[in-house]
Amino acid sequence: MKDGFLVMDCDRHVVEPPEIWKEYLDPEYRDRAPVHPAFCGSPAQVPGLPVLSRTGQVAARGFDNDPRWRTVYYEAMVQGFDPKSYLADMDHSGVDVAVCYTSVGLYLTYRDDMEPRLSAALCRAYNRWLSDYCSFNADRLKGVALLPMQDIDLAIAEARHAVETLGLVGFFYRPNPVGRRPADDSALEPLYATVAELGVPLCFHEGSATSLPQARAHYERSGYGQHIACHPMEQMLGLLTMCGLGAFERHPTLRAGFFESGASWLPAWLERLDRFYENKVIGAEAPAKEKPGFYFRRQGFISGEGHEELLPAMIRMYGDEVEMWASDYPHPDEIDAFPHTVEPLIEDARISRESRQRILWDNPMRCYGIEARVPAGARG
Amino acid sequence: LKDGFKVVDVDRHAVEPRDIWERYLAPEFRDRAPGWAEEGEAVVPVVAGAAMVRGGLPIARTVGPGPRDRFADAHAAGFSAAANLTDMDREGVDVAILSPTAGLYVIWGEEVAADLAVAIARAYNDWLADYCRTEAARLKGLALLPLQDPAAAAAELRRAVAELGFAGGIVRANPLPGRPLEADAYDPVYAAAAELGVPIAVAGGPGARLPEIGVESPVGLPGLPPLAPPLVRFDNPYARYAITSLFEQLGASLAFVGKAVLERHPGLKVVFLDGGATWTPWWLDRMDEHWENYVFGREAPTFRKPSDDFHLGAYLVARAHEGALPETVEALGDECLLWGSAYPRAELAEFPNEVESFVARADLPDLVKRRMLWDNPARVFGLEG
Repeated sequence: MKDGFLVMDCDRHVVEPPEIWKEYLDPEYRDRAPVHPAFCGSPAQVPGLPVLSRTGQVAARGFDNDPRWRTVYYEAMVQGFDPKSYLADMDHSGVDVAVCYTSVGLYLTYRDDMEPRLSAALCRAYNRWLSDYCSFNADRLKGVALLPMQDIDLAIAEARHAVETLGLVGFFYRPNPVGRRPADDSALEPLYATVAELGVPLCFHEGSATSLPQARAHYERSGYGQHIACHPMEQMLGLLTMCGLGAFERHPTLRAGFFESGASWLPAWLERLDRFYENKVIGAEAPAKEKPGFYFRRQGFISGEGHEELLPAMIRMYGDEVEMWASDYPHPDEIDAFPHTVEPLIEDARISRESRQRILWDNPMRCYGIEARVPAGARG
Repeated sequence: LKDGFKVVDVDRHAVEPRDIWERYLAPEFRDRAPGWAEEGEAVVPVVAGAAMVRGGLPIARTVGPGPRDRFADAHAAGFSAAANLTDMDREGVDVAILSPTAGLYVIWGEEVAADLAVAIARAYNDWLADYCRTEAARLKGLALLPLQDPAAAAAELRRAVAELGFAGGIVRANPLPGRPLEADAYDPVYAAAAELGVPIAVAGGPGARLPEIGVESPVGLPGLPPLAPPLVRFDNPYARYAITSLFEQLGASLAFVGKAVLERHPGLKVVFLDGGATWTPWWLDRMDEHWENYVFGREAPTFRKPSDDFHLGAYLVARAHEGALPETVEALGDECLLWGSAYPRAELAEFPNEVESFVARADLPDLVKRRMLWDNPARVFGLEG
């Protein structure tokens, strides 16, 4: 609790210990166990494959390479970000429930040259570890699974396993195409159907160093410009795919969230998609029956940061049931705010207290399909 | 004049006639003159055997003149200057700042040699100057700038402003391959614009023979060749139009604001023509956060925060309907906001009631509307009256 608000952090990152791969991989893949330093958020070495990193950022040393990061996250770092220290930092920020996303998995299996079965084995190992990690306090820690996107049948099998056996609550989902599939490739349809049936969301999340095709990367020479542009553009492309090209229409119970790029791009983008949908010429071949905004309101969620300049406009245009809040702990995006990450939203008097509570609790609960109850560990 | 408001439309397109190259291209380039290809009801320019609008009919239809039923009179008149003025009167537009139609495609590709691009741009500008002479006080041209040869582009801008009375220059938002808009190579162009006191307008539209967001390759490591050819991630024309019209403006503003073009060229003004205005508070916030950030900020090339650099000379062209305009005015002030229609592109759905619907908005004060419709564009483009 923070100032009387229940708080769910809808996009927080775990930091994987390097030794988990040998422990959790199926025996026949142990010799392919990734090799990476502690606190790794970069492309890591997988034996037998070259390191791929569009930005050149590689895992020579983890986040702890930077003295500022070491200082800010010191207490959890010296404990290896174990669940206990992780929960302690949640308490520092007033976070009751955290949805845990990967760090090293942002890149690990997202490449076109990985054998599908190796990808599936790595995802399975990660998902097992994450499930164990979250079981330390299952009411407060919720995990988001990795899927081996090189092969849709394997991805479907892992999706079922992750939810039905491991209890994970969503699927990390890159907007960047794997295997040169265009955004509206019909090969993805069975996966969408399975995800809808399982009742958990697709969690659109980008990472800048990927080798996969990436928005605007071909114009860019700096990591600065690339990180500014690729995260939100990829989110916007994901929203277009779901809401504008028929995926939500064909799968009316499928949910998707759009993460880690702020939320204030929504008014300009969704309004544009709706306007062009209605335009007789530009929208002539828009495939869906309704405007993108219709599907977004019905099936979409978007995560914002503490202060979103256009939040009042978003609520006026799209209501207060689609927005969520996220910290991105302990990645570089958050560092200047930690541990006071949620305060700017809690103190945002431009919107009603009721709307703030929805953003912090009710909406992410609905997005992830989590039963809305206050966890025993929440601080009063 | 509309309901007492004087109106400048800063995003209005002149439509080039079929015989423009025969009449205006320098004789020594006539054997390399662009041609035209019919694509259904659209016509696209052809250079060196290549159609300069990619993506087939649907894309061509969205970027060319809009539906015949809506612009029937202008269609019938071949989109003459007189027809444009008549439609300006119907809309209540006093002054138009004119962008090209075919000109946003015909020189923009590697197929077009630099000397030919310079000659085509010169021909286009001479044609547009004659077009504007129909009523010089109401029709103001933007000079097409052939960025393949920055020195020649700077010279053409000087000529167009000094001799043709133009109000600024225009370039595409998606840059020539390998040379982003922040490249030092373009300094002569930006320096000329700053010195002349005229803005550079940045325009988009999908399907040019240039790199485009949403068409990308996998890349293994920086500096190495891509792992595979570019993938067209979205081929639906609706998706392509939506992506290009906004994303290329995000990219261009990142170049001018985030990559220090405005900082390097005091006095330079830049106008982002497509994409509306309400993306900007969020985008500037995002740039600022990276500028401040302990990791990303190390590479930030600007001395000031991007949101401060923005106010050195960046301008946005709002559309009448944008829902988040009140918050945008609150965040950025009202001095950077202009209004434009995109006439006669397909995008302009409400013709001839676009100005009327903007003036009728109850959520913006009249003072803000007055500034957006007249005071700001008059200042930016050096209009009198």
